[in-house]
Amino acid sequence: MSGSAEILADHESLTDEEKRKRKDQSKVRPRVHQKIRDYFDNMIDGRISPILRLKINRSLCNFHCAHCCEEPYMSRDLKKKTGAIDPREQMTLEDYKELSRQADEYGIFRFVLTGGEPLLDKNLDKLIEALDPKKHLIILDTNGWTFDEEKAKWFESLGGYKVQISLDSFNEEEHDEFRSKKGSYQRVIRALNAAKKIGLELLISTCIIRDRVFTKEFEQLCDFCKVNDIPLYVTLAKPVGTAREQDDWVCVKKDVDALKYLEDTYNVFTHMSPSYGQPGKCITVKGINTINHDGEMIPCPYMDLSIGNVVKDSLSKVLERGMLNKWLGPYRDECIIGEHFGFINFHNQTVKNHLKESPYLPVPYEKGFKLAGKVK
Amino acid sequence: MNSLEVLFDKRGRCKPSKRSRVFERLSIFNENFSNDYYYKINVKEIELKEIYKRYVDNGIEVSNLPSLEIFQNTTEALLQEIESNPILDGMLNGPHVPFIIPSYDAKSDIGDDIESNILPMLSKSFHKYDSKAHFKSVFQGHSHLNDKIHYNENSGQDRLLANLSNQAVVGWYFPQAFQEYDYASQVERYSELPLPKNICLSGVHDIAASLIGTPDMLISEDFYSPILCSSGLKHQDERLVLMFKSYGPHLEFWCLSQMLTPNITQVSEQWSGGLTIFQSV
Repeated sequence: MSGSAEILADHESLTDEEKRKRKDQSKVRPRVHQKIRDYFDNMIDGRISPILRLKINRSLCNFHCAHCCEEPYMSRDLKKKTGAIDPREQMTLEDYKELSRQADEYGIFRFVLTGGEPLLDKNLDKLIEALDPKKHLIILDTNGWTFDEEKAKWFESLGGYKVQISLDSFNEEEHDEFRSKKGSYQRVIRALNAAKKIGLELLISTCIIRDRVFTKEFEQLCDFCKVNDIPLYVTLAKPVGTAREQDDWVCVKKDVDALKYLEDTYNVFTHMSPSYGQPGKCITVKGINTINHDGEMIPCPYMDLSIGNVVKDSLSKVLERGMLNKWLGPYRDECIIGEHFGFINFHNQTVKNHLKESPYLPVPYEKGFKLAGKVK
Repeated sequence: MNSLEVLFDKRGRCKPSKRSRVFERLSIFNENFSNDYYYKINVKEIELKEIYKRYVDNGIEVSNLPSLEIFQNTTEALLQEIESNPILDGMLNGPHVPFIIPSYDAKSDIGDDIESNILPMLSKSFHKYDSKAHFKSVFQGHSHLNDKIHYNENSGQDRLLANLSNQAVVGWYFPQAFQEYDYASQVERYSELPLPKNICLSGVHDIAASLIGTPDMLISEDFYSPILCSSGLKHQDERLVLMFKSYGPHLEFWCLSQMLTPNITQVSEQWSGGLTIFQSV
């Protein structure tokens, strides 16, 4: 027998980019570096260190995108439906400070600030300070509209680590139409240049609907990212939020497989790409969790069902509950909210039933995920 | 156990015992729940000649392979052995693929043999099948496999691998015999079964050989496939297990943690142990 196989021990399975980032953190943020090392050492024990994605400022946004999953959480939508904004208690700076402390204790090292458009939050500087950017990587989602060089400098000076700028088509007209905002494409290009100039970590985030991955436009976007050395993060359009009735947007396995081919040629990845020594899989709870304005934790950015409230319960308790949930913890290859129609039906039906009783999302744990039962 | 008890269900899956820990699906998530699995093996019509050719095309010395005729006759005889056994014939309800493990200069250390011989052989074969796709092996736990892999007691893997330096092995792999079982329950349930000595709990060698003969077993544009656990073998660190999986069009081998949390092991709808029936030739 002969031949050779690429055999990678887990620490060797990091991409060059991941290795570079780990090295950098040892100097800039030693505590973050320590947590990353601890995560690697304890990974085979089943320890997790998910990204915590914080929806801030009641998800206020200056855009009206065609595929937005956040619209039902926004004050403008709630005002239309109920005549008033969300009456639930919102997380305070003290709550975020406590969340940061618990996250650090747990070994979590990444916060993503999102909305809506987080740059519209006038208290963003205070929030970043409360989250402690020496102990965590602070990552900013933005549509790029106001992210110019001055804003990039400001974010960097606060301890910001990375910006994730959304671009939904490499075709200017198409992007502006999708985003319902003329000029938004050019603002994205300006934001990319600003982030690069200031030396912030950077990626482009793009949402694909069925078949987009096979288009010339998508290939051009991949080429642009390769030439400019910008990672391209691809999300799959989900039939939730303003796209709830758009089943024909949902990607099928063929789309997802095509992306997996592209990962070997371009710096393209999805939330399910193999990373940090882990195989490609659904990352609910273990890879990413979203925390709503009122502290409800949602185990995936595109779901509307909660696994508990981090203001009322400890972060570790909520995460453990999520990991023991039959559909969220155990290993699965596919994206359940993006591909698994059985789950999508359950999710959307549960949301629909809940909205008959209350206009406020997410659906509380007891009325949604609790029904799935626990791993025994 | 009543020896006449039917052991396998309509999907060819071994019925769990009361002690088995298996993934329990909930009907609320599966309104159209059927007996079909979400994770499927891509098995089409079995063409023994085509499968045999893949071993030859992979550069394996013909002298280390049985002849096509022996391959055909042995696979046929093994199927008949199962068909004629009323407690086993339900195995045939599930997908099954034929394989040949050629005779080769096997290393005495199983982990070393997997790294030096088995994975390179599979890698070469998979690149022939799809030159655009990758075959990748990743080992969690900061180390290689040398000195770390052993037979699971009473798994029958020792009998399968006993004499590979002198004789090839022909067999059938039943990848979904223990679908949705946790790793420990695959081993435990196998040990409870009244099986003939030529049926073992599947391991790396027989699964890799099956993937050489049927390279698209885990690859499909339409559905996701199970993760194939090599539960006939164990890692000295019991948190780690060996498995094969597809990643879209790609094929991967993982030495992966089976810990769901620090105190609980995985019990996944997607993980599947297998059974292998074999004959040295």
